[in-house]
Amino acid sequence: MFDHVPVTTSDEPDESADVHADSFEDFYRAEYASVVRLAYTLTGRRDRAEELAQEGFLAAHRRWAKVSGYDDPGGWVRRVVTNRCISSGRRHVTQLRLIARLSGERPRQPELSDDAEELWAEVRGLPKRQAQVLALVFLEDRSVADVARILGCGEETVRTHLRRGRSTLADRLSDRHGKGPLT
Amino acid sequence: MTDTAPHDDAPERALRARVSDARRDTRQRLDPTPAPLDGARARLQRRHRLTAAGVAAAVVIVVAVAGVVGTRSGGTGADTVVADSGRSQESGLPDSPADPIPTSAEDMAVAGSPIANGFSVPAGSVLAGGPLAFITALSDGGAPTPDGGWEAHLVVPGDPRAVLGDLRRQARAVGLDVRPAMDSAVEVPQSFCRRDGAVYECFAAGGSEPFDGRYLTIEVHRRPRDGDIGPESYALVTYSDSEQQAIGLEQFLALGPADAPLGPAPPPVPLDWSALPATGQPFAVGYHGGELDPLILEDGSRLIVPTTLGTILGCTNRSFAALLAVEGDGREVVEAYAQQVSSGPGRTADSSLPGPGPVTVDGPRGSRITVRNAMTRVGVSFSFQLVERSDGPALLQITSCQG
Repeated sequence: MFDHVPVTTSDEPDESADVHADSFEDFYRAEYASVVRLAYTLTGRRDRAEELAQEGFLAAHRRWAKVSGYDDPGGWVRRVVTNRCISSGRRHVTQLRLIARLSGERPRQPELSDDAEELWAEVRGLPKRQAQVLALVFLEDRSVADVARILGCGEETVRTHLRRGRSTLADRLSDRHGKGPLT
Repeated sequence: MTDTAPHDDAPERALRARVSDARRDTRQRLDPTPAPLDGARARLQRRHRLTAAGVAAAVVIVVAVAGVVGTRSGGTGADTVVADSGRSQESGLPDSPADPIPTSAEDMAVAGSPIANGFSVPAGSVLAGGPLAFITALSDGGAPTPDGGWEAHLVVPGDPRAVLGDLRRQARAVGLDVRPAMDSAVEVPQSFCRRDGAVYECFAAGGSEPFDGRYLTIEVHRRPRDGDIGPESYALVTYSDSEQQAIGLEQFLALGPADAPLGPAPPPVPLDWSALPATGQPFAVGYHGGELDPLILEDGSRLIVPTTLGTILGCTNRSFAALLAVEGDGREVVEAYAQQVSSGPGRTADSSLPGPGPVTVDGPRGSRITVRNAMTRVGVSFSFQLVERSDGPALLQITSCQG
């Protein structure tokens, strides 16, 4: 039923992964694109976004017996992926972003419209927790409670990050485009 | 999003419109098809093997410390101790405390020497230089923010478990709960150290409880020579004292139980070290699958310790890290290395990628920190971090990262 997306289980001793293979494949097919999009907003690179999404789903597959029992397995994958988005390449990514911002150069070919690319780039420029929160809220229209559950933090913490992130973004975009409407 | 509604002013309204458009555009234009997971599995397994193979850090340190004596290898500009059988290269002089690992002896600090924030050089190790500022955060203004965190590179001629044990004791003394750690996408660790043949790795991390921004990670790596890539036996300690830095560290880690065993005994320290290179000689040989030529040691700089594979914390893919002491104009030396990166075969800088820098900011204790980056056409990025200090030669950390 899912032949074009084979999922190997041979190197994993978790027999339950086989038992639940069909449900995992359904889950993978249903969630993959949206998780890639989320990773893209936090990395700005499609190839890296797909890699990170696959790693997140692989982690879910390894623990599928447990993860499939969660109320929101997709939230679990998003937690893994958003965490890895802000950690892979760590120091290098951070510094390259810094130089890119200071030099005003675009480091890659855009996948999206200029306006969308600009917005996600500004989100990535925020402190990491703020970026995670805003990506989940902006892209997936998640509630504060959802975001708190996905990121494993308190709702008040999410509200604080959201408020600060929105304020910073609004100011930056307003400064860039003038004080009038940004569109 | 009813509970996230912003104040209703013009910038906020405009932001909402931008978000709505961006969401629609992203969903329409970015619609990838699920790919087989085998590729991801292979990447992770390769990465994990590299990790277990000694993947370790891109790091750190220096500070000339009295009482550490080495033999001078003339004409290199470095005081290098090399021992291929547990003894220093020239007879009649004291062995280096890093023996048999070659080091620039004048830049090493012995066990018990202070590092920072209540930590000292642990038993079984020697500190290479002094703690480097740990730069991961960016201020809103776009400048690198050193905060108060630091990284320390320790050469480990002794038992890695002793190093880990001493650091855990020191961490407990300042209120940090340090547990076994592992990349969260790999597994939850059940011991601090793991051994696969002659390859040995320990990884631990933890923070304060309640959390106040302090977070410590400890990586210990020992592995034999692998072709042109030399052996390793060292530890990287990273200390953060701000929430932002700590999040950058802990987000990708899975922590095991606090009472986990240390793990298996380590293999003996490798003996087939190469001497540290002299000026004009190559270093960082064999990394990145041979796609890039090695760097050439520039005049005015000296390697402090052998080059290592990149650490778990430095880069998730194959990489290398080199730590040098720099005499004279450090920024000229940085530019010389940056020119090597941008002019060598396979290294031609791609003008469409970020660059050129450098960016200089104030660091802790009156230091000045300069960051310079470069990206190559083959997808390898280089980062140069220069720390100019008032109490010793400048330190230059060169790291690379694949992908």
